[in-house]
Amino acid sequence: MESEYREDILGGFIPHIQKPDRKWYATVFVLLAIIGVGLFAFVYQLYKGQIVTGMRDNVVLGVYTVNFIFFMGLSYAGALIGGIFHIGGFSWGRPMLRMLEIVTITSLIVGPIFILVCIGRPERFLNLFFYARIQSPIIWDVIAIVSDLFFCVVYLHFTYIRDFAKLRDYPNLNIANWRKKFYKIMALGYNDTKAQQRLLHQAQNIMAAIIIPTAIIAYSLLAWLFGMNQRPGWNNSIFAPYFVLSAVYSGIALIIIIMWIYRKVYKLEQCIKKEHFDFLGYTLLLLALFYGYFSFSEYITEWYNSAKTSSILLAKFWDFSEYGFMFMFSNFFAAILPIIVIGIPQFRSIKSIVITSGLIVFALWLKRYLIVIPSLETPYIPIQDERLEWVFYSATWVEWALTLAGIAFFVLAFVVMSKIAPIVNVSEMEEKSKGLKFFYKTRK
Amino acid sequence: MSKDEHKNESSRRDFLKSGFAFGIGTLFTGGLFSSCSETTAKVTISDENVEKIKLLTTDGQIVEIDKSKACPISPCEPPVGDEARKGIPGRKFVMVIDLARCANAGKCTSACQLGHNLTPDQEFMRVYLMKDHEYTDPYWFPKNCYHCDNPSCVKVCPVGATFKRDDGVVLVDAETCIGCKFCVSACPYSARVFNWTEDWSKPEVDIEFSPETSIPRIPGTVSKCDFCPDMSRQGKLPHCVTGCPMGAIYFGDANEDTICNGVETLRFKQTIKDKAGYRYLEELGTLPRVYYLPPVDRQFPYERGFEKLTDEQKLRYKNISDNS
Amino acid sequence: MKIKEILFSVSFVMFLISNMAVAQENEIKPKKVRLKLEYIKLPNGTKVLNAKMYWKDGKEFNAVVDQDVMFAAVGDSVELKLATIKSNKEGFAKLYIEKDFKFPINEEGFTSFTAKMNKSTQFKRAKKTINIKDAELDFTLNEIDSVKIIELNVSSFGTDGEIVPVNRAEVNVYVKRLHSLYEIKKGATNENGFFSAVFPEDMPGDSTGNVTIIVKVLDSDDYGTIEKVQNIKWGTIVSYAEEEHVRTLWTGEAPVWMIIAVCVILLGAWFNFALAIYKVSKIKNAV
Repeated sequence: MESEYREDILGGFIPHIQKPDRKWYATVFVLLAIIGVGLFAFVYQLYKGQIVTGMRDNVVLGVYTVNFIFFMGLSYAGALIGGIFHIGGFSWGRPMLRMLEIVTITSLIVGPIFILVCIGRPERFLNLFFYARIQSPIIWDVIAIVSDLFFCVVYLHFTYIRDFAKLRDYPNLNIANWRKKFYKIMALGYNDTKAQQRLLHQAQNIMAAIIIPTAIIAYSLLAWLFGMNQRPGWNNSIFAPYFVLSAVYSGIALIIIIMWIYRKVYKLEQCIKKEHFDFLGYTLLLLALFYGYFSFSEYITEWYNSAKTSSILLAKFWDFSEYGFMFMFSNFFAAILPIIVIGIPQFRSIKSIVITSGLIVFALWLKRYLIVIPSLETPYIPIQDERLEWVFYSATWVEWALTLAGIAFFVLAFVVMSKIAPIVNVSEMEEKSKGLKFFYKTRK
Repeated sequence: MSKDEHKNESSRRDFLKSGFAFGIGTLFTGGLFSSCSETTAKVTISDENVEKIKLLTTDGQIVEIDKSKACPISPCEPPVGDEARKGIPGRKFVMVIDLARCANAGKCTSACQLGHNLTPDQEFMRVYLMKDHEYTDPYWFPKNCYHCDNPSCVKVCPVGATFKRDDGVVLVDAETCIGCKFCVSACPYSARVFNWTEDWSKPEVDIEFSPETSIPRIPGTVSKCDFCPDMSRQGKLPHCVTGCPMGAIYFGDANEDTICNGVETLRFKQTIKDKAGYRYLEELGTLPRVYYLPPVDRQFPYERGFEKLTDEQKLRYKNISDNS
Repeated sequence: MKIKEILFSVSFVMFLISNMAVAQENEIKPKKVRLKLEYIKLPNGTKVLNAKMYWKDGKEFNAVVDQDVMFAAVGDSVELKLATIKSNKEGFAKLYIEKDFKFPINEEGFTSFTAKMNKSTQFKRAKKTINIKDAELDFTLNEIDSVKIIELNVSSFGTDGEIVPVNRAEVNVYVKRLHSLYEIKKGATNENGFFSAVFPEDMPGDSTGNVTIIVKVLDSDDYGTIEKVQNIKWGTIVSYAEEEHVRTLWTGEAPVWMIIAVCVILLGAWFNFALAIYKVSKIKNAV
């Protein structure tokens, strides 16, 4: 067992890092095309005004905001889980560390882009810094996101340093000169001496330690963006922990999917084992239970209270001509399905876990939709309007195009990042680890 | 220039102090003719605020004289930029809406749209049809911005583009607004309107934006009812008040304890006391500055509010009208 | 070919003519104008003749804009042309007359003021005459046993120029407010031309308690409108000082605890960040 992990893992990645093949170019081209359509939609929206979206005076926030919450959730989840893996020394999680970091960074870029797209005058974005009001939950969020972005980029770089050093020293690497230079600069003169190891390890520990609370605070702040509003369905004290939990939940589900894809594409069966899927599957199971508990707690308090507007809102969740199906899907996929699929050993396989994860990610996106839109459609003064688009929100092609562009950007980041350095933290994997041994022994 | 302006300012203030500026129509004094014409000659006052009047002198001559309009509040023009963030000193504007009188004529809405150069899509003043319970009678409910004393919208604004002034008015500086729309979702009264498009039905006048008039509207920013402080500067009532044919909307200054609907002038506190005035959704703690008088002793059935509506407009109130 | 062209041009011309005829028919229909004439005597003695003109279109009233109105004063078979004024966009034509201008009067002391608008393509002719006698309105403000009393007196001139009180003149007492005048009391003068009103105790003034009191003879058939005004510190003092706000989240400044909390969290986080950067920066030179 052990010897498997001590061989030259980097060697296996070298072909991927060297010349990209045609498939890679095709993928990048398709993704760029999708992003291009999104850019066109954005320019169209800038030119025509936000009238081209489905948003109107009642539902002022739409799919853009849903995407924002969704991607920020993924980002904070990546940071949080990565930090916990690092600090806790869960060495079995090492193959996932880099993917988590890339998820963090990429979604941390994609998320705020959706806010830029959502605001009426993106060119005045800098006003957020010039005229910032500390009392506004939005400013809390701006501060948190900016800090988080800095921390995560730096942390990501820290985790890359050893691999960059390895690539820099790799003999006969068939890559362009600028990339060699890039590795040399980014490796920061790291030579794997004892002192350097110690320094890097300390720095990584510090960053991992601050990233955990930053992620929790930042996502709580995002939850409060809604929770602080006097609006049925939003003004809810459970929102902050609920948001953090569902962020971790969606993050782990996504990591399972990404792991599976890379396992297939890069043939990483030797580092990503069924045990990884099982272990993350158990985590999903646990989170599903918590998620169900939180959801139940959220709805039951509002339902039992039966305040007028809350009742109208909840009735919409049970009405199949309104949000009934969405509500059913989101709760079934996110709270019940994992318990069945992962909880019962007969159903548990890599495939079933991956499919469940996909459904969970989708269900959690729907959940964010259910948080944002029905609440806006149910203000204290019931909407009275003859214009249907003012009463009901329905996203337009512009919003979907930009959503797809966001996803495409997210995927593109992975496609590009896996060319820059191995998608698995090679140095960590090659490191002799008792914990790792222990893990695989006990799993046997 | 600034000296002259100051001079003009002080002379205008003297003009007010002398107590001659009041009454119906034009108020005017012979003794101030010379000083007024002098200052208008020196200082550039926009044409709008200068009135040419014809005077028949004692010796039978007709002379034409410029007279700057008497504004009870100085300056007469709606201020722009940071100046607009200062409230009109000594004022606390309030509105009282008598629900017993509203017959959904929709004139408040259209007068407001005209006064603020709004598109037909945008309504700062909306009339809702309310029905609280099966046994209660429906009533028409005009709703604008409540200019809350604890405004949820101002709390959440990240850039301070919306602000509350000392005179009680909550305004939007659309030149700072980034259009994040969180104030719209924070407002429990659905008072705010977003400028979704640039396709205005009417061409915008080429003037600098003033939060007091909300003109010109800037696409991608938020607008709302502004309580028309620009009208109060001229001693006039807001557009919706003068537009209402039923006199259902009263507006005034709580410091003066007076409200007026254009026809009658009442004491504010006494009216609230006598007619059991209340504020909508008081329990939210937003402390609105708009009061309602309950729909009692109505002179007409609520159905009259449907008479002038088009079939399309009737759809708006379908949920209530179907059930009653 | 030629015949066709001629026929075509003829029919075209006829078409034009018929159109013009229709258009003219539509235009020539002068509207009936309602003209209202007001006589106002301002506090300083300046008189105002205000002709208000409007025409009715269905249920809507429209102002008669930009039309010449001729004002004249008639008394004792003397007609004095005063002035011609163009109506403004509200449909008002106003003439101000200086205090000492002498109007012709008849033996009873009346002057007939006329406002006349000549017929035009748009409007029918309109004329209005009012008979006005000059009157004086005086008022005093007294405080007796802390009761604030407004006493007013309306007087006019007899046939021999002697001063006679005006009986049963409709008078109003107001206090000036921002948007309108608040009516304190209204009524008619007694046989001595006398009327009194009590100023309400709780009427707010400005920050020094100042109020403006206005008395008016309002739209009297014989005397027109007469206004008088005085300032006095009779109102209750209103404090303009800003009250303390219990919840200050909406104000310009954030609560102190919030600023401290944000700073502590940020400093803590960024200090650690700086520390990590420092450690990494030493990597290059570490042995």
